[in-house]
Amino acid sequence: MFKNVKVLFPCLIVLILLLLVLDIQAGYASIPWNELLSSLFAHGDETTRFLIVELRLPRVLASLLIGIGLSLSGCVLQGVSHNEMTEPGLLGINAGAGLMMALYLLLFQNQSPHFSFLLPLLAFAGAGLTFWIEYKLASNKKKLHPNRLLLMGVAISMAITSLTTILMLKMPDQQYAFVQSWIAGNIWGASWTSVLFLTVSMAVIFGLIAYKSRILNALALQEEVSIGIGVNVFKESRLFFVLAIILASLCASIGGGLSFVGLVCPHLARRIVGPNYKKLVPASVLIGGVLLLVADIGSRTLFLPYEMPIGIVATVIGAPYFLYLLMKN
Amino acid sequence: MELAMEGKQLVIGYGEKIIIPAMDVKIPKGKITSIIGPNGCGKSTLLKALARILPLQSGDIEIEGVKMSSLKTESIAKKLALLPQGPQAPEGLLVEELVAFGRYPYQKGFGKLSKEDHEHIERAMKATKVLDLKGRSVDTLSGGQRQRVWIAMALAQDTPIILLDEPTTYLDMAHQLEILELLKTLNEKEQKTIALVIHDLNLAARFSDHLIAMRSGTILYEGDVEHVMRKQVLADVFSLDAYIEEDPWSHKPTMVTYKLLHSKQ
Repeated sequence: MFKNVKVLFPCLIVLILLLLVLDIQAGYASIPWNELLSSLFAHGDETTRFLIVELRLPRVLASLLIGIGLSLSGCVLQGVSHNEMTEPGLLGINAGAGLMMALYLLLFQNQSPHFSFLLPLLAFAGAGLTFWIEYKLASNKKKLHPNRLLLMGVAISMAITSLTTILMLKMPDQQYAFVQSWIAGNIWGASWTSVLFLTVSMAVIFGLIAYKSRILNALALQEEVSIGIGVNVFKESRLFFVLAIILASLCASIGGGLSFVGLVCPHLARRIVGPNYKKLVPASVLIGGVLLLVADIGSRTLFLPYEMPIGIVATVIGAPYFLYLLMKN
Repeated sequence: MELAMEGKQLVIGYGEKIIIPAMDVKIPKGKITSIIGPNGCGKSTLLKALARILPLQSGDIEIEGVKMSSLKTESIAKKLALLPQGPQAPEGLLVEELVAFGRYPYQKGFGKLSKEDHEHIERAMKATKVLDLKGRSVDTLSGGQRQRVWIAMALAQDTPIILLDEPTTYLDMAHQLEILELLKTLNEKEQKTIALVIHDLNLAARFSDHLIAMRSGTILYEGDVEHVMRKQVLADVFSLDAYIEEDPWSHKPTMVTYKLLHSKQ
């Protein structure tokens, strides 16, 4: 039944809406339902309203957006690299962002008042720089070698992670803990500004990818076939790589080193709707949103009064399911 | 002889490794041309270069008299379709989805198929007899069916020229014949120019109008079947001692038996 996208997509959208409400309600200070409704739609109690509108809602929306972004990024990368194992983390995106942040913290010991603005920029710069180096190394004479790019990504991200670890050893405990939780994947500093920025930029990229899903389909064929039917493989795959990397960097800048989402969600989507990107793109996006909302609820309810990094919860939920999927085939 | 494609002073290779050092090659228009030769002689390499999969290191290829280097890859795809060796479809891709890829060079934007696109797709599936498979997933098909589906994709591209790299490899004899009969029909009914790489010399002789025999990156012999399918040619090209007779059915030369030159048997 769920193979039919006309059934699947509305179901997933409803599920996301339900999870959104659940997620807002969940947490250390649980909010009674009637208060939740009144503060969302009318003027309720001022404290509750602040808690919901200023603290929880941005975080919840950020989780949703990060799930969407990472899943979409992985979905695109798996197609253009012709490799089912590809996900943004594999290309060293998270590692690059993490190193940049660790460097900044170590060099400018102070907690600058602009840190929450700087962090996304730093993460973005680190991720972009890492990809740029890999890209330069993996392409020559108007030809991009996806396999070389992946191997490069694995090697470089290992090197970068080691560097980050060395830097972290020099940090005071508090900073160490911050970087550690960032690397594990934690929604950090979600504000309305960042949510708005994420929404707009991701909407633009999503639109572009969905509009070009015909080309993405053609690129997922083997290269000889793609060229044969008239695809400009070098130009188009470069564009998709860059779009996917921008998406992943945006997500890393707010969600830290979340890695599993970009691998599992597109896989699951492919199992359900098949390899056609016209269906695969929306399916991946919706499934990514669902997984991170569930993970966010888990991260804020399972270990009260502590909060688990959302990345850990996402992996704990995702990994067994992923194994099950692989075993079934 | 009118030409569909012509390569002049081609130098083709992979990076430092030159496979074809200097070659002039002609593909006659409206004919079936088979490229034959021993393993590693560069016949697939030549086909890939003709299909612009492999960039030329030097030289020019003209397609219907126009330099290919001056054309966009999308415009070339409207003149020339390629079926690579042992093509793989993404898991779960449906037959009609695969055939629809043939319409890629004609589409714009999001790529909703036009009425004309649908007509071409259906015609291609009818010609290759895969219409009743259209809802099946490509990876569940048999080898012969799968090859016909890929040919349907090339047909949907609606090009005057089709290049095929070993389209009969991995198929049993009946299915090999089926594919070649299909190509022959396309050539006769729709005047398609067809060029293919093929290992079976007797099938090449039976279905081709024109043969190109290669060895070590050069063309040793080319011309009509009677000119190339000769004892001396097979000795030079394959180092084979071949016993050639006229095929009583097709009246083309056919190799009855063969042994290695200088062998004792």
